[in-house]
Amino acid sequence: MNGLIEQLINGLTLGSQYALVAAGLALIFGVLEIVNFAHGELVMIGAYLLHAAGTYLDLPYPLAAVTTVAAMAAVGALFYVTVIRRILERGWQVQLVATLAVSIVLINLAIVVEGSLPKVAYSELGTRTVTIAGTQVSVQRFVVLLSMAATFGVLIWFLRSTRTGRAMRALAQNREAAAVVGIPVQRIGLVTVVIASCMAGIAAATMTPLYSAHPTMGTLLAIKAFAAVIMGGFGNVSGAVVSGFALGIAEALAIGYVSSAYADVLVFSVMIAVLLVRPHGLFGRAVRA
Amino acid sequence: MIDVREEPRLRGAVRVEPALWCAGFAFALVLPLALPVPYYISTAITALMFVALAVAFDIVVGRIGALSLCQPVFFGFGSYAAAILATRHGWSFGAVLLLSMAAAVVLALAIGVPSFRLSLHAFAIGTLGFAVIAMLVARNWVGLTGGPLCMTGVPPLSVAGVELTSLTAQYYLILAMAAGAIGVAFAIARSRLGLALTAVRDDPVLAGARGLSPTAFRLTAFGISAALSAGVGVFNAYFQSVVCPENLDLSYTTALLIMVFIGGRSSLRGVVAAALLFTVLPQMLRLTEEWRLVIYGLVLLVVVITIPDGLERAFQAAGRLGRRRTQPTPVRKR
Repeated sequence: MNGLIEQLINGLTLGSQYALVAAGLALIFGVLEIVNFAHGELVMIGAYLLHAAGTYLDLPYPLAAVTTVAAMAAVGALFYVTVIRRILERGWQVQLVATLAVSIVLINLAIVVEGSLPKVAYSELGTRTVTIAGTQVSVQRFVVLLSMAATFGVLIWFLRSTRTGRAMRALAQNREAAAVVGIPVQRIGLVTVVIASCMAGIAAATMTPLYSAHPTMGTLLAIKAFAAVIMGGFGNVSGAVVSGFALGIAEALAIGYVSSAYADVLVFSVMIAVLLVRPHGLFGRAVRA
Repeated sequence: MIDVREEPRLRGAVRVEPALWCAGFAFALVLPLALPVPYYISTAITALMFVALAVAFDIVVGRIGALSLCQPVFFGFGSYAAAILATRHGWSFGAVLLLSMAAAVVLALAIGVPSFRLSLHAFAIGTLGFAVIAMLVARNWVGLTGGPLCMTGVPPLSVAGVELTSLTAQYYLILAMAAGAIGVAFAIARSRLGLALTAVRDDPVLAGARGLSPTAFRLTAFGISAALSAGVGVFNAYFQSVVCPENLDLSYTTALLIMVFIGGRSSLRGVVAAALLFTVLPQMLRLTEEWRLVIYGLVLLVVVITIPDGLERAFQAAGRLGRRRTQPTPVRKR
């Protein structure tokens, strides 16, 4: 029983991370129709920024986390201006390969600069624990869950109630028509990528104290987030969030009760099985090609 | 989209390209005699392996326009099949090669049938899922693959009772395989199958209306590509004499993407040139692995954004020199 509660809490925190990353991916795909293969590397950059803020700037964890998310907004803006803006109107293969190229560059730059050994980002909350039903749970896991809930609250409010949010949704429905009625496509694209990058930053800032930062951490994470995005129906943000949680819990249970080596195999088998039955995802209607 | 066959042939113009292919092949035949150090011969062998792999990859990416990210699965499958059958069951090279290529077709169907149900981006991600599963299985199924400790002791290569232990002999074997792969790709491009693949790629709905089943043609190309990649994988097992989970690494996909995109999708000459360039050049520059990948990534990014048709565009420009101006081939947005 204790084991089950522990695995469920692990699953919820893992799921929060997948949901944050997957929602960013789904947002970029939904609004700009670009599959961002460098999204996992945004999380990796966030993790190293948190490590740097804690180690080199000596900031306490809450301040370091906020600095990380703010810096990730700048990273997102830079990513948009240097890459995304140039491929916005290109064919899908060019878009996919361009973002894949960015991911290769970032991973190997991280190895060149920081080495391939994992780096820890210290949080005083990581070592403090509370006991729930006889299971010791790190306080940091509650930070993960709370920040995730707050992020999605803000995101839903933003998309529904602000002018910019509505413009993003208009762009998602029909880019040409949105441009015709005077929506600035470039500026909304920039906002979209910055928001997605900040969400990757939040995932990195809250999860890294539980694990560690290393150059290839983004690869598997991004692939799982892709799995959540596909299962949720491409471009469907809430579908991606639900699938992200489902994947996280399934993975934690698989680690606890089957085998940690094959947990990832299970996750991808679930993705492929879902695709076999419902090629457009669990919550998606037909995907726009 | 650029298609060589559709270029208007000018009357009286000399056809340079077949002569260049022959000259290139002749050069490859005498190359081992000119290379003094074994190191260079093994570089040449690696280059030819990548030529064959890139040509096979382009049958999927260029010919059917599907961005498959699971190509290392077939390469790694061939390597592991060779290592397991040769070391534990004493199979000969020829038997291993035939069986692996046939089994790779079955594997391609198993991956392709569900994956081709997906549209463009989702296909790429679905195949990536298969690539990760294959890598995890190779790493964790220690009983079958030896896990991270690798499969060692692949016996020396022998064909029809003749041992091909020297690097030069292995060079000629992989040269024959690379030439075979180029031959297959060329035959596809010139055949009705190639026309059908182009039709299915450019407009699957219209092709379907004309009675061409898009899925059947995509699976055919996918299977051919898988068989060729597995064949190269078998050779790789004998050449390295050790097979590790790294043989399934995603960095192979990266390298192949670079070659196909820098060469120009569905341009045989471009892909071959890019494969040679990107295996030989880094060896000459003696860069470390990390810096090499940083530079690769940057080159890929710049090329794909600025000249998405890659070297093929340069070849076309060179081919037009001194000729009457022809209508430029329209470049389709892909």
